[in-house]
Amino acid sequence: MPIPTSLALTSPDDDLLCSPTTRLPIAVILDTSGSMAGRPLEELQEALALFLAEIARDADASASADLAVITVGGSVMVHRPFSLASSGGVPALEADGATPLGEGVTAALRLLDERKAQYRAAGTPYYQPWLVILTDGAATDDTARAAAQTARLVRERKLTVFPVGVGARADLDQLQLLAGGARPMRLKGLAFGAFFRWLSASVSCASRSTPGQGVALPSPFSWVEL
Amino acid sequence: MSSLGRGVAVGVAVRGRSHEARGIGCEDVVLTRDGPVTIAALADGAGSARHARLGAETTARAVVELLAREFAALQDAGPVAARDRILEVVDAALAREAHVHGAHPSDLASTLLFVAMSHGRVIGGHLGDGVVAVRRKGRFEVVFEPAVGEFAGETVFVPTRGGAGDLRLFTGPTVGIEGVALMSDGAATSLCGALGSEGPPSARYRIAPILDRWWGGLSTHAPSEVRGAVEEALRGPVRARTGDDCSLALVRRVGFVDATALVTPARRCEMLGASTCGAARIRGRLARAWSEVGEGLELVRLARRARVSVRKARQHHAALRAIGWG
Repeated sequence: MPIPTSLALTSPDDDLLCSPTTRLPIAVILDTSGSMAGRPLEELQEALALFLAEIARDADASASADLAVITVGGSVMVHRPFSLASSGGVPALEADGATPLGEGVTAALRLLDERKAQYRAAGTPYYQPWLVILTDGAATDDTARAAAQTARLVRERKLTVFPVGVGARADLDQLQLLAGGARPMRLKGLAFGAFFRWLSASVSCASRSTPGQGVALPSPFSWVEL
Repeated sequence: MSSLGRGVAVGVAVRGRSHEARGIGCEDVVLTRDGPVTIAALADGAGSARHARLGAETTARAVVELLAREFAALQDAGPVAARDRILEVVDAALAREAHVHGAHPSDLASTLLFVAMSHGRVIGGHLGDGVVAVRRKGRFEVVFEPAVGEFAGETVFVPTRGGAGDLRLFTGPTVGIEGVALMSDGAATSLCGALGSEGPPSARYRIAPILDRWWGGLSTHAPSEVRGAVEEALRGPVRARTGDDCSLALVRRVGFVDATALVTPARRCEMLGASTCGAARIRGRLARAWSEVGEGLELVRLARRARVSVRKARQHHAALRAIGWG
């Protein structure tokens, strides 16, 4: 017997209707410009898979972490729209072109806004959203608008940003502006695995916290270049 | 206008991903029964039990038959005597079935969740993990803390081996109760989220909003259509969150006005228990007259008001009563 439209699962927020846990929306922006080609991109892809596996192993994190992945490499692409990190994977990454990071941040903030609207429509409680930016260089587009947006959200305590520079050529000053003032960390070599393990442990801490209250995250020393 | 209505129950159980991968069948069993007493029982066979599926079937069937047979007596008995009677019947059924299969009753261990509603009274029970949720004031609330132990999958089961207190009951008038949902721990992984660790279960857990959609659907769609929607979700996003079997039962009372205002012909036939459009038409007229004047009117006057013969009124009135209208 066909299922009546009003009862059927059809919309992208069906997982919110079927799973009422408090969500932690995490938008990850990955720099996949030409300079990331080769080993860096391979390590990044492997680390992302590890991140999803670690999240899936933790009952609280897997019920809570909502992940979107945006790539900036030549153009901005939503590589994975928001859904529970424990369901689905991350498609293969490809390195190409310039680094439109400003446009990437704007796209990520728009996705976060849309996801929050879906939470509100479904009555799903949520934590303060996270924005992760991983880049090995500098933006090749105008970043002023994106920087102003993140600065406002960080100031209003509506966004937590984790800016991470990869390699010596990452422009940490510009990254700090794009991150709304949050201090960027430089990745130790190509320690993407250690970074995403730390991110997964941080998600676990956050998913066990009370929304609106501070969260003590694990030490990042395993992946930060001092 | 009286509050003429009937209870409706739907239930679905789907095999979990880990059972599928290991070639094991579904060990969750959901049984529902319409009639003068609307009943749903859900049993989740213990993973460690040799005859888990058989045990879950035996337990669910024993409880459904007992509630259909002795609903009024259980109401009158009070909660402690009702609890003891239910466990006595379940333990005896498991012992009989174990004997037939040359097994020990504990080889048929399962959890047990049930609810029965009839003529303004309700009795519900919960033994083990999973969730029993009652809908009040437009919101499903968890009634009892799921009985989970320190380790994954650790809970209590029937046969109880003397632990009668493991079965927690709620019983009394249905005033304010809009519906009841039962779910196995597999389904609850997705459909019941923890909000915190303090306060009563109603404040510590949140039930997925999809249940409100299904609950509403029971008054606007045929039960078979709602069952299809529940199955779609259990096979899709709910099962994706766990390797365990997933099962759910939903019970609500549907008023006569709800049942006839928004219906398709198929739904009207299903709700009125009619196999033909002609029978549905007669039963609809009879039920409308019944709902307008209440229980007290004698059959002859009810027939006149419904514009049907006394013979047909008697026949269809009895049929409506048999499927729970009242």
